[in-house]
Amino acid sequence: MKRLFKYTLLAVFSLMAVACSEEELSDQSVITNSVNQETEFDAWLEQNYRAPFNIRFLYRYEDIETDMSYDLVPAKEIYSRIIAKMVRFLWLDPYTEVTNAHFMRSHSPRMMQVIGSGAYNQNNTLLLGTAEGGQKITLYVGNWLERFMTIHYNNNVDDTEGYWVEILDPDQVNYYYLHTIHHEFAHILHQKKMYPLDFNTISQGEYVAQWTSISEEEAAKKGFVSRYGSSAQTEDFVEVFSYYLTWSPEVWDAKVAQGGAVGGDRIRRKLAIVKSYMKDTWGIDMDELRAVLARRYAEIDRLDWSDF
Amino acid sequence: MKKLFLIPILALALTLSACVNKVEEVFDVPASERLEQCMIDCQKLLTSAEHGWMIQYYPSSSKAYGGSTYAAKFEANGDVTVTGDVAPNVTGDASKTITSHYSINASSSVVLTFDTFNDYIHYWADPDPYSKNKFEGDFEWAYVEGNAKQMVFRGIRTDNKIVFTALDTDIVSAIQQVVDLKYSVNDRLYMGFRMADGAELYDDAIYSVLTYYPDGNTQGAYEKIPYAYTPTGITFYEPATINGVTVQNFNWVEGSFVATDAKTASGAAAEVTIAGFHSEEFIHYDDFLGEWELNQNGTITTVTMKEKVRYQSYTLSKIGGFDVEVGYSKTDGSLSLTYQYVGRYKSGSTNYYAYLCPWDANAGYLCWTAGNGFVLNNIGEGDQLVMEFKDNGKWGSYTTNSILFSGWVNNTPGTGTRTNLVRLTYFKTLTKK
Repeated sequence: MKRLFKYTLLAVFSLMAVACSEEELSDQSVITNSVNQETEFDAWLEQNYRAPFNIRFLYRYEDIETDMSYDLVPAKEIYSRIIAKMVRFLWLDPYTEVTNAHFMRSHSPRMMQVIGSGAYNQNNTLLLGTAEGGQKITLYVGNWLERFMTIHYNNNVDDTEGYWVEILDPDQVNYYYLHTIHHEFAHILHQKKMYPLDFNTISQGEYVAQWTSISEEEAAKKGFVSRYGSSAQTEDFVEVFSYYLTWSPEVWDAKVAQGGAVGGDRIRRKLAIVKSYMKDTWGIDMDELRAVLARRYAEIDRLDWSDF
Repeated sequence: MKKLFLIPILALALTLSACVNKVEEVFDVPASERLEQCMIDCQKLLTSAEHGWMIQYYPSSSKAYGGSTYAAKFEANGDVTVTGDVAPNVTGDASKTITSHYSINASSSVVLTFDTFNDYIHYWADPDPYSKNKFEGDFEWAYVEGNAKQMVFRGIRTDNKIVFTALDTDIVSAIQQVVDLKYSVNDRLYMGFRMADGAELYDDAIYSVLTYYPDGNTQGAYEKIPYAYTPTGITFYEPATINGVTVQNFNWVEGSFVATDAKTASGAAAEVTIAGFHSEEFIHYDDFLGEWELNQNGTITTVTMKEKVRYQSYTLSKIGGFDVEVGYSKTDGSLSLTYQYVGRYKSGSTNYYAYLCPWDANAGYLCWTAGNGFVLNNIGEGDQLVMEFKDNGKWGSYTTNSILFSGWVNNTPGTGTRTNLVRLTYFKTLTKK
């Protein structure tokens, strides 16, 4: 009883203490940003990413959004523009085409970030992308586009009068950026709804932390489409998913053949699970999506790269 | 009961504190508005410089790479146009400016970020193509203070001071002057600079860093003095005291740096000139370019030395059919020829990875260790250059006197199948033609 009294008294007085304070709220928001102006690229992103998909496409370096454990540099703006165009055309739009306008609006990450340099790990491997909690995808090595394409400026000097892009090495562009983004997106999908755990049993006991210690061929023989896939079950899953979409059918079939009787069979069984998971959970026919992507890869040269 | 007695006191205390609620405001406006104002002020100053700013930037918290000079023009729309004395290494042309974006943000303080890639600005911070951020630079600079003439920032990783000085010429002519001056200093290949009283400052072979030995003993304690170029001379990162005189800024006058702000310990103005000097054995880099007679075991062949990396190395063609790299040292005018990869070599049906391996033909041993090989010193009379091959003393009990070009099937010297491609015994001299 005593105790009850004590606390009641305390509560009353503390309330009084709070009640005494009278301070009017300022009508000005404390969050302001009058310094940094929008660019025309920002306006394009508003129309092509933020408004239709609610995706914030981050191309200007913000240290709080980057991984502090790496030494990084920002991407060159023109490469961010090219990546933004490419990702829209070969990642966002294909899903919309096989589902509806709501699908990517609901399931795409809320933030996409492009970083210019690679993120180098201590073990001499290179981080190409990350997906965080279904909310954010970061693409690294944006500045490497310089090696894979030539930018032809209309005035032969700079981008002020427009430009067009000649992709010199489509396989590398496909690997470093598109494969990476499909890979990270598959992580987001399974982070939202897990795939059937049967998948994890197919190569049980074969997963190794040091994935760089085996060759691509050895990985295939064990039933992995890439040696990185052998690093963990979830990585295996998203590698099957992303390579099935971004490799041509010939390259995919060659990989299955490289796996031999054992590996090839495992890859086929993994793909079957990926396909049924995508169909049952997300209503997406992987073969239809793959066909749409193949068509769009062929159409990439028709993109107007500098219409903003 | 005792405990209960405490309650009214506690209550009283609470009531009292509750009523004394008027906290005196130290600032008139909220923190966010003050921060906002600081950001606006910073940007106003940045964009106010009509011709832009000269920037002395030092990567790495150790400042081991010395300073680097930029000139930048900031626009209100977030564009920044830059050139700098890194341009010869990046685009090969200091008159080629590069435009990218900057932003001003508030984190722990007001920070200027070069937030899209600029080949010049990010030169010191880019981890590609290396596995680490080689120069440990930064491109996020915290704003410290400023006025229309000068702004001061600090690198948020390095904590190094970064000074902006308002320019009175356009950015390209400013950097052109810096680069021209840097070339004319570098062309003299000084070992260092000497004060009238004998104090010596040794210059780094590559970066803008001087080394000062206060006791005059080059084996003893030393101080590193990082510096950067200006259009008229150099400026030390911070004032340095050399033999009791404190100096920071210098103008370049025909082979010497003349201090513009030297002061004695008592604060009196002093006159300080540091004059460039060479060692007695010094031979200029350019003197080695051209044709030479190579004496290898009595056999004379003509070889050519061409510039590889200016002031650092040459390409010597050819020895044993290969182009080889020869090192240059401005310190003592010596050359070096050491273990190195020389390219692919087809022998029979095998395409080998060929290496120049130092060889002790007397003992019958060869090695594949970086740094082992020959040093060449001048033994010529008068102006005639005669460079003598000698073992550089790095190979333990063996002596390099010959060269064996060795081929490996895999590019992993020391492992796997190896074969002898070309054997050349007893290197004697190189004589300038």
